[in-house]
Amino acid sequence: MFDYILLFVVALSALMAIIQENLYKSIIILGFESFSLAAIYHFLLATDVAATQAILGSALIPGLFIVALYKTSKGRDE
Amino acid sequence: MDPFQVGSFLTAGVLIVTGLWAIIMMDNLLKKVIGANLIGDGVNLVLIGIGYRPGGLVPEVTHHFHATAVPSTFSHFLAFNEFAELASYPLPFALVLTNIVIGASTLSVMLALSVVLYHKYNTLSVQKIFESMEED
Amino acid sequence: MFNSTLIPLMVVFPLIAAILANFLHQKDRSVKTIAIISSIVAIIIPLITLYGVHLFSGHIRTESFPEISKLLIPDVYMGIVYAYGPLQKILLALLTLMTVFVVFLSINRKLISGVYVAMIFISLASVSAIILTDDFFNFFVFIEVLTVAQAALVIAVKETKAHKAAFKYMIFSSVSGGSILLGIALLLGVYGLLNMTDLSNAITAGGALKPVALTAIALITVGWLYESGLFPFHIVKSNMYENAMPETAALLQLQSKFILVAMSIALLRIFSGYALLKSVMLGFAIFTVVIGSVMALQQTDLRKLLSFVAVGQAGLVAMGIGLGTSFSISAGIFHAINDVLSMAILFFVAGFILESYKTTKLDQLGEGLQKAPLIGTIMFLATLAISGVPPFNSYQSEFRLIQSAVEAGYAELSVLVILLSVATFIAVIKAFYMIFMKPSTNTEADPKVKGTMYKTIIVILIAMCLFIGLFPNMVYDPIYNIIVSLGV
Repeated sequence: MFDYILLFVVALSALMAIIQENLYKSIIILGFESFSLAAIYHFLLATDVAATQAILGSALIPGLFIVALYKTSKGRDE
Repeated sequence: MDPFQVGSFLTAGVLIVTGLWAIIMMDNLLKKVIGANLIGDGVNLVLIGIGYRPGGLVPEVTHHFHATAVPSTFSHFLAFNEFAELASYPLPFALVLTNIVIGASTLSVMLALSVVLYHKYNTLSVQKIFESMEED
Repeated sequence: MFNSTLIPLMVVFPLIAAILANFLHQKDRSVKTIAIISSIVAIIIPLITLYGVHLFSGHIRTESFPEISKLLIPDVYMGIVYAYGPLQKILLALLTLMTVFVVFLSINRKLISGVYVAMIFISLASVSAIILTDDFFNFFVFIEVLTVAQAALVIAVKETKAHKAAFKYMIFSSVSGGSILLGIALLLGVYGLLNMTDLSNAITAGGALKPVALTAIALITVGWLYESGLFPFHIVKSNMYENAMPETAALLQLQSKFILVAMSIALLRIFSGYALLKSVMLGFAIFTVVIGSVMALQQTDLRKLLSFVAVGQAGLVAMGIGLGTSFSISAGIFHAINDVLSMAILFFVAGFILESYKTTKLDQLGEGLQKAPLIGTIMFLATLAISGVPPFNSYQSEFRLIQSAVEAGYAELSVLVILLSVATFIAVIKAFYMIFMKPSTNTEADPKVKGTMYKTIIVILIAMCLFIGLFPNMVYDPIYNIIVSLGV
């Protein structure tokens, strides 16, 4: 039962990440969606892929996005 | 087809369509980059859903399976044929691992390009940046 | 034994050279040495390798136990396979030769930096792997690597237009790369195979195509359209050609045309019984030819004009491949080989113009013949070459294209070929007139720019065009024999 809830959470959070206006919130939702996707990979019997997706999707990619956001907000030059 | 597999394919479809919609319709450059990331996530989910065997084993061999291991609850799986028949299909995992890394590297190049474009135009809106496309 | 190390060396050696050049980024003299030595070695490797098949990690072709594995064929390749034949030799020899020329011209221009050379070599390694490989996922990985390398080559120009072009290119590439991988995933799910030879055997043995496999064909065709720069994606590719340094644009257009050839042969081999694929390819190719020629006639900037001519000629190659008979496919491939040579000459001339006049807008140039008579003459000869005038090479390939179109029953397509060559001639001769013969008041050539390297290279290239034009069967016959033996 828990895995079907996770599928629904992934789809919903992907939609919310796009609709959300504030970009910082959008990136946090994206990180949450990547982490739920990693949990789904674990339920689909792919544990090594789940570990990679969890690390990259929750830590590295939101980190890159937040650095890019920081450099593209007003009043912060380099 | 297992219902969980069908559900994961449907979710992957939702992810891909959401990513496409973000690339086409969103005005902010970073939202387009998020959409590109979502397309990659959807395709990875399709790949992993293809290899799923319901009720199967994770296709990794630990030291319990070694022929000289201490007898344990997994000892009856020492025959490799039995293990191979019950495990899920491991080939798509290699493809997904490669694709995740490819997605992360193209994403970093796109983010760097957005930062450079912001420094020149002082906005992240696609309309303002690309409206002056035809001037030379 | 020695030969089986040489085949993957064609991919591995440029990658090692790229890593070394990147590591020595700030030290210009070592980067120059590495670039010159690696590009010369990279030419030698395809010429001394014998034909053959390389099986990675020794995974041989074995039985597939069809009752248990439910695969449709009795024998499968168990690993990644690289196949090297006469067609790959011709394509790789041309690719490495053009890379040598571009490396020498970039060194001459003082554009050299470790990262730039590394990106040129990474793109060389990727296109070599795409031409050599027999494994579908390996093909996808190198397409993605090539995307990043080509975007980096355009970004290195450091102008805002180049940044915008590279951003659009990468956004579209994530869509098309996802599309290709989705097609590969669907084929893996239906047939359980990733090797192109095994897939073609399985699809032939499997009867009518299932709807899932039809979706896979559609998705992979979308990826093919993007990689070749055909109709819906022609703007993206032509933006890339126009914004890169002109020498690098010559290399980019060569890579796109060779990927078009390699990917179409792979698609036609795998989905050989399916006639709708060829009609779809033909339809998009016709759109590209029309749009390329119309837009080339309207341009007032030399690099934009040449990029649209390149897109139109790529459409012509795709038209030859889409017609479907062995004669037309080999004519299309022969035209790709001829066309990259003449377009390279034109792009190198544009590079010389950019370096000496600092602009390529046609209305600001003029009276070039007094300052650079040799380059003007060779640009005129290249105009004749690219439009299909008799002693040069495009005449032979366009003649074969027209003949094959008439034999296949589509006589109207021969009119389209002639129209494209007339439009190309008008567009490029207009550029030639406005650069070299028009009297003008505001042109000052930089007197320090001698352009000896440019002159040497374009003389070599125009001699190659003339040679292939006078002896076409040396290049055409091996191609025709291979296509007949593939049985597409």
